[in-house]
Amino acid sequence: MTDFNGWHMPLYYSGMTEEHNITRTSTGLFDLGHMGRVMVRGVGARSFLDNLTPAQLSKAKPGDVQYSFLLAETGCPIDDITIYTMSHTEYMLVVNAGNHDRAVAWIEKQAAHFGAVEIEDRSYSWGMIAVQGPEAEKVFRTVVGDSFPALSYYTFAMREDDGRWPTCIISATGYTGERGYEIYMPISGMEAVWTSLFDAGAKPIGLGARDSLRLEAAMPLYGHELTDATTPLAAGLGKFLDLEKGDFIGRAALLAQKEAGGPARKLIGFELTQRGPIARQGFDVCNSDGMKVGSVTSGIFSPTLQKTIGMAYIDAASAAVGSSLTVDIRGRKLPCIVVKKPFYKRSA
Amino acid sequence: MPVPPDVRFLKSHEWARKDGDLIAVGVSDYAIDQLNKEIVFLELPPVGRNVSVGAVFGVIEAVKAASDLYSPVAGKVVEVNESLPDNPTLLADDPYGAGWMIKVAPSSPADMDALLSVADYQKFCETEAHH
Repeated sequence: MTDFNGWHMPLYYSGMTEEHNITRTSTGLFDLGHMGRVMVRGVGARSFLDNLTPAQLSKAKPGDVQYSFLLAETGCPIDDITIYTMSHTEYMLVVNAGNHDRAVAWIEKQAAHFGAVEIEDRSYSWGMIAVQGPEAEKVFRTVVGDSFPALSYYTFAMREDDGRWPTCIISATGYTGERGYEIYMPISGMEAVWTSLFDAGAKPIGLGARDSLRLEAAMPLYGHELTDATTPLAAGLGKFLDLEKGDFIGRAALLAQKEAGGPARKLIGFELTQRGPIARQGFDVCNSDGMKVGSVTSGIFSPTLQKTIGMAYIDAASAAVGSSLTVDIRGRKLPCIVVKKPFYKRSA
Repeated sequence: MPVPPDVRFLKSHEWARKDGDLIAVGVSDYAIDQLNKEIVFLELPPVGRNVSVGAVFGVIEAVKAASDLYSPVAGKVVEVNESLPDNPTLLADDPYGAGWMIKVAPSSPADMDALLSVADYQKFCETEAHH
C-alpha cells in the first residue's frame, strides 16, 4: 500500500508486471475512487466551461467526453481533465487526485466570478471503477448484458439502477491504451460494481501498473509531462486546444507562444538502445556533443516492449524522431533514440 | 524463506557465503521483498575488479528505485553470475543459490567474522520493519 495524494492505495495486488500484462492480454479492474468528480450545472454552464477550458464545447453533444485542461492565464495547465456533456446545462468534470483541491478551488473561484452556474463536488460521494483490456468488452457484457448501447471511443451513456448496479455513468474511455470502460456511481454502489466485474474475471490492478500502462500508451501524467510551467502545445496536445472558438483563460498566452514560433522544448518519447537502468524523472538528456538538451519526465522498463522507455522535454532542435541522444543515469551517459509515440498501440 | 546457516549478512542486506576458497555474494530475500520482487535491472562488476568491504560493487534497480550494492568482503571478483541480469527473477526465487551475484577471492577471509549471523540479521530486519 502507498500514500497517493492522501489516498491509501495499493501499488500492486499480485505484482506490477503481472498486472500490467493482464491488462494487455485480458482484463484489468481499477479502483479510481481517488479521481475527483465535479458537476457543473446551470443555464450558464456551457458558456462558463467555454471560458474556463480550451475544449470545443459547442461541438459536444450530450454523451460526448472531451479531454481538456484547466489552464491558468499563463496557458499552462492547473490540471488535465475530462469533460462529460450530460446536457447543455449539466457537465461532469473529472480531475486528478493530486490536483483535486486546487482544481476545485479554481473552478469555484471562476464560477463565483462568472455567475449562473452551480458547482457540486462529488469526489467524496461518487466513486469510479475502470475495466480495461482486450477482453474488457466481453467481461463488461457478461455483467451488464447487451441492452446497454455500444459506445464509441470517448462517449458515455447512463445506466439506470437495475437492482444489481446503482445508476451509473459509463464511458468508453481509459488510461491504459486498451479498450474498456470507466464507470461512475454513488459510493454505496461501488462494491456491487467491483464485485460483479471481478467475479466475471477482471483482475485488480494497482497504481504501479496503471503508470506503466499509461506510459506505454504515451498518455501524459500531471506532475510529469504536464506541469504549471509547460503548455499543452509543448506537450504535443495542441489538437485539444480550440484557439478559434473565442476567448478562454490562457488563450492569449497560447497564441503568443505560437506566434513566437512555438514552444522551445517538445515532449518526446525515447528508448534506450540496450537494456539498462530506468531513466527516471529529472535525469538529464544530452546530445551527441554531451550538451544538456532536456530532461526526463517519466521512465519505466516497459513490460510489453522489454525496453527501457520514457518521455522527456527536449530542445526543439534535437527532438526529431530518430535523433541519437544520451540519458545521464547516475553519471553514466547511456545512448537512447527518439522514437514515435505512443510506444504501444493496441492491435484492434 | 529458509536461509542456509552459514550465510552472513551486512545491514545493507547483501550476504556472503563461503564457497570453497571463494566467497559468494548476493542479496537477501528480505531486500528483494522490500523491492516488491520487481527487479528490472542489475549491474554487476566485471571479473577482475577489486572490491573492498562496504564499497559499491553494483546496482540493483526495481520499479520503485535503484539501490547500490555493497560488498561484504574485500578481494578480487573472479566470477560473475552472467545469467542474472537477464533473469532477475532468480533473485526472488533462489536468493541464496542460483541468485548469487559475484564470487570473490578474499584478501582477508576474516572479513566474514565481522558480518551478521542469520539470527542477528533476521532480528535486525524485524526491527527495521517496525520503523
